[in-house]
Amino acid sequence: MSVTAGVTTRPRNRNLDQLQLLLPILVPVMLISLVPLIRGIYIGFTDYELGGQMHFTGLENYRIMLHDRFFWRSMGVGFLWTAIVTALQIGLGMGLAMLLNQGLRLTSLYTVLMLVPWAMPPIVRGLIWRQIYSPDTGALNLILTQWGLINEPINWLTSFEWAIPAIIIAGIWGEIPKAALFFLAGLKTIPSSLYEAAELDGATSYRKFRHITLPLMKPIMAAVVSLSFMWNFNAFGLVWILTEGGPGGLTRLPMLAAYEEAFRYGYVGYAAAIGNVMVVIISLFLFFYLRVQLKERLGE
Amino acid sequence: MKRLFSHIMYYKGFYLAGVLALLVISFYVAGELSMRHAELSEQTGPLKFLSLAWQVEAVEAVQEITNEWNRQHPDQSVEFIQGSWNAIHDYLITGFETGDIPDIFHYESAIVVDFALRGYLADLAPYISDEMRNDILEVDWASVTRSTGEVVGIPFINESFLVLYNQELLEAAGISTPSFEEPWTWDDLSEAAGKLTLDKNGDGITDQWGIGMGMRRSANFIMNHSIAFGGSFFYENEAGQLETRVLEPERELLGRISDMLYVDKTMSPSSVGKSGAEMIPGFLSGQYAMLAGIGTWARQQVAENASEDFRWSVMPPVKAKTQAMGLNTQTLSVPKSCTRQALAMEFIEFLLSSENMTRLAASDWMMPTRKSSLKDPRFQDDASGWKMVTQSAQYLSAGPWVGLPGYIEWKSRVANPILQEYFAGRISLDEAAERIERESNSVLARYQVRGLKW
Repeated sequence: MSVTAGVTTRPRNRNLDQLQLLLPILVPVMLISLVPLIRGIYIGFTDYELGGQMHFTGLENYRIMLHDRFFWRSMGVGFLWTAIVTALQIGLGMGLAMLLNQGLRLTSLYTVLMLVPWAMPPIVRGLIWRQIYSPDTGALNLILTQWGLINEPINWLTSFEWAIPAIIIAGIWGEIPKAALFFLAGLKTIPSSLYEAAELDGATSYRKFRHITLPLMKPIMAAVVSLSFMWNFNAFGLVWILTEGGPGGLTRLPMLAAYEEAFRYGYVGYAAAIGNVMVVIISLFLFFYLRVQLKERLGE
Repeated sequence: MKRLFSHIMYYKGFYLAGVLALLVISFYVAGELSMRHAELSEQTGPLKFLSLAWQVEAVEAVQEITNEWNRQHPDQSVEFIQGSWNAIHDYLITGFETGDIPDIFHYESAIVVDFALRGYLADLAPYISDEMRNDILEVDWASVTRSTGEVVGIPFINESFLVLYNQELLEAAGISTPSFEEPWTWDDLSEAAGKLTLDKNGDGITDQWGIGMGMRRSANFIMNHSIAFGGSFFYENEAGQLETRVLEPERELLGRISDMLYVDKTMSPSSVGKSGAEMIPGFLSGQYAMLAGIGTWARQQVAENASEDFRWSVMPPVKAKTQAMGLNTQTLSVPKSCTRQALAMEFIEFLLSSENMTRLAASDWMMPTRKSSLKDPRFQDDASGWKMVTQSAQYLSAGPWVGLPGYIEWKSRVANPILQEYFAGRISLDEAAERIERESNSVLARYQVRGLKW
């Protein structure tokens, strides 16, 4: 680059200037984040196995996946888990946020308490719930036995009837705070004058919720649904600690399946392919979901 | 200050290029330096030894022996790394793939065999001393030796399953206890379990079960005990390839356990879904009179936690057609990428000398693999079932599936999940057998394509 007096008058290229400023950040991001990401996507198109060589195999992994019962079963339970946890997390989170928005006494204390489950890593949540569900020393069996609801302690996490409800409850518990916090922030932005006006017109609580709160919360809800869908679909730590995907592979979420393929059985390429499929599924969901949301808003 | 700032703004492109160049250069230099350092320490630094011993006394014993080596070999020191059974698999796999792996590691034969098939492990055969080769039981070598004679790990501890029993409860029910010379058959076991299943207070709820057994992952137990019924699970077909079959000999044990659970109702239903370790408290509190399918190590937990008047003992292997029992061994292996394999093996010979192996096995409440160690008085004591465990060593045999490519995947993808469904009473024996056969063959096919040979 020649540095002469003439440079001051050169036509300024704004984009280039911005790029120059961003470069110091972009380079580490590229090195640390983008390169492994692209390599990960690429591995999904290879036959890489532990101890073996990596060959590009195109769509072979995806062809195998079409007939892979283990994969489809884990996708099935993955969707069930994601749908239920996300829905209940939104519903209960909304309720909790509205409760906290009532201006009750000690609200800030409740808010902090509410955040505790979220502040814990999923592994710790898993350990806590494993204690609760423990067949011999768990609180759940103790309470249910004392109330006379069951005669025999139930092994919640290894029973075919109870394993799925058990992980879902543990999952929701940890995810509610996330939703509630977003909603609480949203609720705070709704001007109280709207509610006052509605009250003057004699609106019931339900109608106020239906016609003021809900419509105004929609953008936030869209954000929470999108984020929760991603998080829940990709969940790993909690369920791994609780059931390791058992009993009989019943709670093997997609991420657990990918983990097992790579680290238990050594099919790294195939595991990366499962990861790629998950990314595509999440992208498709977000694309259609957000498009619907956007259209609705533009239509209004 | 202002002038400096405008100066920087003026030449910012120039400075940026400089900063970037510096960044790249420093990344390169740092990488290069750490590579050099790693190479250097591979040649001269301490050997790394990862141990999985976890019972307190066992950890102490391993550490003491390692320290002893370091005192005797100040120039060839060994660094002790404490591993854990929960994390070892991921740790080793990432280690093998990145090259950052301990020079000597502790694991178990079934999985080491799988690693060897992937080409991760050094052949130790050329380094093994005659003394060690002749002293370790043949059956233990069989668990780690390839058909080419390659040895992929040194077996030093035998793992097998035991049946423990509560002497008091058996006596109270008027049952004479089995001896090594007169073992029980599976019929005897079922019959005794029936006599020991009691509703003491007459409220219609059983409060003492004949037998308990952790069946969360039952494939190991089933495989190792089916041998005694003549079962093998893997058969060669006309094309010379292995195929899974669940025939009469394989079905018999499955049916017997299921009957104890659901027909005779003599096996505690809490067995389903629990691990062996989780069953120990129930045995100590008398919820079940016999505890089956538990490792020899568990005796330590029983001895330590039992009240003083709790009398218990170890049963000889239950007899089917024979008393044969499949075994798994705990092993020490050296990765292929280790640059000092001979030295690593020298350390293994030291750690597993007759005297040291006796100490390791005794402190872990397990059976050593050396004949000379088994003769040690510690393993001949009647207390805590030591003598019975040692005598039972003669019934150990390496299962026909040792070295079968894909066995590890088969066990965790096919056998354990289907057995979980079967023992939970959700599918019939026919369905379980049919599913095991069908799903196995699709797993094994993937390995057969690769033409791996043990």
